[in-house]
Amino acid sequence: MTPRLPALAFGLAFAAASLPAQDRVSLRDGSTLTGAVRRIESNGKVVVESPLAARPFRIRGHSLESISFESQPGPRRSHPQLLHLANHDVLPGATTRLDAESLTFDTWYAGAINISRSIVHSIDFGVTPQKLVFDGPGLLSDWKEHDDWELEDGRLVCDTGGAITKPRILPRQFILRFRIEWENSPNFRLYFCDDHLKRHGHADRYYFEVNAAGIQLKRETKDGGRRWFSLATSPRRPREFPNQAIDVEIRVDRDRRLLHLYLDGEKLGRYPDPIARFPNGSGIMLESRAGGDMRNIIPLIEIYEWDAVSQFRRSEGRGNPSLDAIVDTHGERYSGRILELIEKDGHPRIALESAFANDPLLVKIADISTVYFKESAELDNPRGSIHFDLRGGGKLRLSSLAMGADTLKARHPLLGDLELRRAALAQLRVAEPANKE
Amino acid sequence: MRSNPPSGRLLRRSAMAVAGLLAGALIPSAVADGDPQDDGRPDLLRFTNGDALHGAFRGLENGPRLQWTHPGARDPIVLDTKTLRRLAFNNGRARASLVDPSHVVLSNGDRIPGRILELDAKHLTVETRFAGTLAIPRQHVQLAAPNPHGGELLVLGPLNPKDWRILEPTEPDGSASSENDEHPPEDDHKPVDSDPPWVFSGGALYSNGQQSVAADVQAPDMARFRFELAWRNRLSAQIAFHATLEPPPPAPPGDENGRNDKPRPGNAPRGQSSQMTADAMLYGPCYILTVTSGYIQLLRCTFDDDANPIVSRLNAFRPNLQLKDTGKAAFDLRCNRSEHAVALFVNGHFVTRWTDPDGYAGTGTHLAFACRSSSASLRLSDLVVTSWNGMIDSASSMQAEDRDVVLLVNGTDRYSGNLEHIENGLAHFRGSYADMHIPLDVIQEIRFARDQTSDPPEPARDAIRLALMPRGRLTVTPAQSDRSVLKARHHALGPLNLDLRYARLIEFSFSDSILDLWDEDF
Repeated sequence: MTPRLPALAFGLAFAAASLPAQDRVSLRDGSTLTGAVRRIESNGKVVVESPLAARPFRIRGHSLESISFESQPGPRRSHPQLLHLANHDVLPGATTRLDAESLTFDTWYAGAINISRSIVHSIDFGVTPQKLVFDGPGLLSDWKEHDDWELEDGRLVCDTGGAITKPRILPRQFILRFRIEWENSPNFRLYFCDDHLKRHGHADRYYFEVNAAGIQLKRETKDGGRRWFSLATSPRRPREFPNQAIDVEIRVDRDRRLLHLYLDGEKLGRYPDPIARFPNGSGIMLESRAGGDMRNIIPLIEIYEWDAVSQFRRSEGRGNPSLDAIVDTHGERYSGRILELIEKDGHPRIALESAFANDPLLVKIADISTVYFKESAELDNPRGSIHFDLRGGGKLRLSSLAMGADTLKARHPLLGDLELRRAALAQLRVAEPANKE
Repeated sequence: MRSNPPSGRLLRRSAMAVAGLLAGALIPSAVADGDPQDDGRPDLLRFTNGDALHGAFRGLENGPRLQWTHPGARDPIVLDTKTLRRLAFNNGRARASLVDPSHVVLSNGDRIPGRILELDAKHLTVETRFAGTLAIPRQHVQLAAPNPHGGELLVLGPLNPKDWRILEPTEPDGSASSENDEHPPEDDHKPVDSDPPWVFSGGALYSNGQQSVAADVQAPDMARFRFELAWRNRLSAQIAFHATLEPPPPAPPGDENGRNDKPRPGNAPRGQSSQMTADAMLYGPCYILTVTSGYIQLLRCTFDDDANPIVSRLNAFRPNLQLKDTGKAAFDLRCNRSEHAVALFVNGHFVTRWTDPDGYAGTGTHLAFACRSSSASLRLSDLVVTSWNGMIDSASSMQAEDRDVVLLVNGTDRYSGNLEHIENGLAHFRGSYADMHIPLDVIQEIRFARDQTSDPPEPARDAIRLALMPRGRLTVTPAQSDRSVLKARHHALGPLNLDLRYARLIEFSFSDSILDLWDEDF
């Protein structure tokens, strides 16, 4: 469904305080406007103030695709836990209190939130502390074989055909994140698990490819009759992504021969390697295949070691909906009734009552991968129409929102009234209303 | 040609053709009758040189030598077991079947069916119907499975050919056709009275052609189909599941919209081959998994309002399994009607997952198999159909080298630690976070720490291997036997008196090669 501003459901007004002037408004026809979003009117129109216009102007709601809000300066925010609400909204934070009825979730963007357990699906623990192996692009001299790639304002740029490589950089289990931006149209490949690091010839490796026709993840092989296998294909074309940019995340679990692909934070899927021998290479190669007035730009590339085991456990799901459950970092799983969060021997622990133990199990937070809460029968999982993407991860769907200079007053259908920091807002999208009056 | 010659001939080949077109729904062999029965079917000896001898097993004596009687021979025949490959009791079906699926697996791969009674630091005690109560030294135990299948067990088989039926191939308009019309020309050289399309033998179904064999396995909305396929001359298997085995009735004839009284294959979507149309007419609404040595695909079979079959390929990553030309593999299909999802595991590894964007197509409860290559053969065995808890990555994914692992029947919970003892139906387990007391009723299986399990010895030269009905295996050194009881010695269990009514096979020469195991002629 293409996001669209509703005519009536929004019902909010932004205060016309001194808003930053680098918000980016993307329209469905591919237009992008940079300026300050002043307010969104009850009829769905967005009021934008731009230095290019003499006075604020209005954009019809049905023309709007999304609004990306300017990143605020300051350190990156992260939390070690992700709380999944029953309606699939996700909040980063840290659990500071837990009893039989509710918990307190401490966040940098909304302070401490008291949440009834009946609306919580699960909490993933130990999510963010992955070891950062590479934070780039860095200096051009840190790369090898950089034919026709240049560094401009800290971004790798190429407007012709050329490759740039970085050997021996990938751990065995890793997360590779990068942003690909383009002018006019992209034509770009990123090879990984690659020791060949050449544009031509056969090799056992993978590559992510984006061009005007689409986006694919492929497995290249030097064995057999086929040179490559298609692992994943996105149904979206590059022009369907806002801002002529895509945030790509590829998670590689060589132990289980699985790859996970995320585009703009949304999981496209997980894909097993079709060939028994998994590529052992540790290098990456960026290949620009640009021509004409095309330009490929890589402003960001990060590589993390990945705790694939914890991720594997987190993908299991709740299981019996009538019981709580704890999955630990070793893969053990205990169903029962979660009692409380306690401190013992200097460690926070979650107490779980099991049908098979006389005393509650006390599991250290540091040893927990995921906690699942039993499903509430009465809940109908309401979802708000305003998609609020949190900077640094997480998403909320709000019923209403009012923006001030530093804070936003929001109503969430499950959490109630929230006061959110303005700096937490990465992107705003508005779902098409059920009633199109 | 495989037909039974008249009785009385000394040497003959035997095969039990699967009953064709049995009327009505068939009841699968979920649990076979535990009462011993002797229906008078003969035993069969296979020799290492390929000869076969029908008759009746009379016992083993020192040597070891085997005593055999045959209607055509006045006196018992005494045979050197070195010349024997296999003895099949009662046409490979045993005279009695064990009811309880619980079992213990030893480090040498032996699988001992029985009820788990007790465990202490030294021994695991198991009550069996075929050997009484056994005390198994703990270091020989690899796995104990009080409730091995997880979920609700629906079918265990194939155990009885009467549970299965051969499907007549159909024309795309739904009418029956001859095999020659249905299949590619290379089948033309086959004689008219060719082998039966499927042969039941020794707890397995063997294909002799391209016709399908099917059973009503009462597959639920969330079902798990596990089976082993073995193949010769390149794998080309077709598995239809959640099938109705009948297309919907055609539209009323001659109405104002010009509806026909037969489905119209001419209306098939582009890309739908006549074979796909015929398959849809054969299986009805269902999914068809096609597996070859090189790829896997899932077809969705539905019918439009005019009963025209619509077959489409579900989009998913197409893995190249690279299975060998001759080999075997364990397949595990997990289906979830409510989420319109099907997941496939092969040899314990996740292969792929399909999600049907148009809703779940399979409305039936049947399961069918076919070999789709005229030059290949397929063997189906170890079929287990259960309900499924819907979790793709099941509890069985947990492994530990130095700790015992307990998996519960809910398919999710698993604990590691030290299994201290089992007593009065409770497993006392020192876990990572607490001492636990777990009823055996809720334990699917216990995997014993690998580093505390002893390596198995090489089998003795005169060792034999018993296959029990429905599933069980014992490798023993025989001492003496009559028709009913075998006295033997097991390297871990010591001396045993084995009730041969539960034995379906004795292997005198055994290996794990698929070519050696491939034997549809008992």
